[in-house]
Amino acid sequence: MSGRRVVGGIGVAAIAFGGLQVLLNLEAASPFGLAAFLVAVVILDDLVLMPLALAAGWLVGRAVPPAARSSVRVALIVFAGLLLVGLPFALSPSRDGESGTLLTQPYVRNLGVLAAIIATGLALDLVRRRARRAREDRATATGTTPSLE
Amino acid sequence: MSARGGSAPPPLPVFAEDAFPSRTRHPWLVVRLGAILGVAITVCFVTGIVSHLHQHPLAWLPLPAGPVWGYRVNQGLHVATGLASIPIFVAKLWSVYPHLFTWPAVRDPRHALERLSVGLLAAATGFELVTGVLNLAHLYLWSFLFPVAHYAVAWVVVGSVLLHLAVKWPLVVQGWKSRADATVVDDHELEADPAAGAEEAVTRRAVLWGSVAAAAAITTVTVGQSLRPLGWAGLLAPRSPQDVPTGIPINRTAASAGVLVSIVSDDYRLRVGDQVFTLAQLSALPQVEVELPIACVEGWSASGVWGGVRLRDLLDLGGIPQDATVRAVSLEAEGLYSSAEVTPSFSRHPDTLLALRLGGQVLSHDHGYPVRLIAPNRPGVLQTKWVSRVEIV
Repeated sequence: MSGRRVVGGIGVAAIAFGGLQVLLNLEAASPFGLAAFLVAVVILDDLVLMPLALAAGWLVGRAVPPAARSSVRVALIVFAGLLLVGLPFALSPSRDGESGTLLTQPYVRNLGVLAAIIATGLALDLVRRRARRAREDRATATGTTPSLE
Repeated sequence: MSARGGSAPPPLPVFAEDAFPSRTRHPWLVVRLGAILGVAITVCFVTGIVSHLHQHPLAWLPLPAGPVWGYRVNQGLHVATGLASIPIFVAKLWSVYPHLFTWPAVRDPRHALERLSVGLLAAATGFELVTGVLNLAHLYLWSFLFPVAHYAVAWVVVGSVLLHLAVKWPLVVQGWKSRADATVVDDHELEADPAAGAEEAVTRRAVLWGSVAAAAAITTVTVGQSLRPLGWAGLLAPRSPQDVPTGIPINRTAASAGVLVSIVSDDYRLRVGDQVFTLAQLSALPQVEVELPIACVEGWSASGVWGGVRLRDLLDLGGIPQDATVRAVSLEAEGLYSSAEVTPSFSRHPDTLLALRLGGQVLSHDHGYPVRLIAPNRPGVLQTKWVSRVEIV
C-alpha cells in the first residue's frame, strides 16, 4: 500500500510540475487556449471517435458472418489507424508548401492504395480460413484428423 | 468493474447498466492495451525530455556532441512511437468507454478524485497525440506555442499514468493474470470458461492484435522519413528526404524568414566576437568537409556533406574563450529559432562548422546561404541558418 502511495504521490507531483510549466510560461502556454484544446480533444475522442467505433463494431456484428468477423475487425482497426494519421496530412493547407518539401505525398491516393492492400489481405485471409474449415469439415466427416501442415 | 446503478434513475439510456452488453471490454484486454501504451508513453516521455534538454540546456547537465546520430535516433523514435501509439490509445479508450457512463456519476469524494484522474489521463494523452500529429501536418489549430504546451502536458500525462497505476494496481494485476476467455467480468472474480468464452477471446484478441497491427502499419508507412531504408514505403510520411534534390528537406524558407534581400547584400558580414569577416575571407580560411545529419524535432532526418570553416577556429580568431557558451544569431529579424545557444561541448567539437556549402555546392538560400551552423547530435531548429554573428552569451 505504501508503494502505491509513493507512486501516486510522484504522479501528483509530476502533474503539478506540468501545471507549473504552464504558469511559468503564461503567454506561450496560453492556459485558456490549452484548456479549450484539452476539452476539444475529449469531445473528439468520446463523442466522435468512440461512437464511430461502436457503430462500426455494431455493423460488423450484424453484417459479417461470425467466421469472418475477427479478420474484418483487424482490417478495420488497421485502416482506421492509418486514416487517423493520414487525414491531417491530406487536409493540411501546408501541403507541398513554399519549400516544396513538406507533405509532398498524394495522401488521399496513398490511403486508397493502403485500403486496397488491406482489402486484398483480408480477402486472402478469408479464403485461407474457408479452405481450412472445408478441410476440417471433410476430416470430421471421414473421421480422420486433419494434417498439421 | 464499474459500480453501476444507484438510488437516482439514470438520466439517459446510455447510463443504464445494460447499455454496453459486449463483454469484449474485459480487464484482460484493458490491461494489455494499457501495458503497451505505458511503454510507448515512457519512450515518448524520455525522448521528449532529451529533446527539451537540447533546446533548453541546463548548466549542470551539459549534453555531449556525440554520438553524431544521437538526436536523429532520439527524435525519430519520439515521433514514430507517438504515431504508433494512436491506435493503441483509441483501443484503450474504447475498452473502458462504458465507465464514462457510470451512474451515479460521482459516489463520494474519493470516487470523484479517481474519475478526475482518469479524465486527466485521457485528455492529456489525447492532447499530446493530437497536437503531435497536427504539428507534423503544420496545422496549428491553437493559440499556444506547441513546444511549451507539448512539454507541460507531457508531465501531466506521465503523472496521471502513475496516479492511475497507483489507484488501479490491484485491478491491473488481476487483469494481467486473467485469461482471454474469462467470462466473468467483475472486480473480484475472473474465471476462465473456455467453452463459453471462446468467441469473446477471439474478439478480444482481434482488438488487441488489430491495434498492434495498426501501430506496425503506421510505423511502416511513416518511419521512412527518418529510417532511409524504409523511405520507399513512406506512403504517409510527412517528409520524404529521398525525393528532395539536395536530400535535405526545408522547414523555413528564406522568403518566410524575410531574409531574401539581406543574404545577398554586398554588405553581408559575419561577426564573431571582435572579428568581422566577409564571405571571401571566410572562403579563404581553412575549409573542412563533414557528413552530418539535419535531425528535425518533427522526426525526419537526412544526412548531407557540409563544407565550411570550423566554428572553433572562428571563435579562436574572434578571441572567444574556450569555455564560453556562444549564441549564433540569424539575419532573420524575429522568430522562435532566429538564434541558438551553442555550449562548449558543441562549439569546440571538430565537426561543428559554419557551413558555406552542402554537397559540394554553395548553400541554397533556403538551406541558409551564405552561412549556417551545422553541428552533430543537435536538433535541426538549433542549426541556425543565415548566421550574421556569433557572440558570447
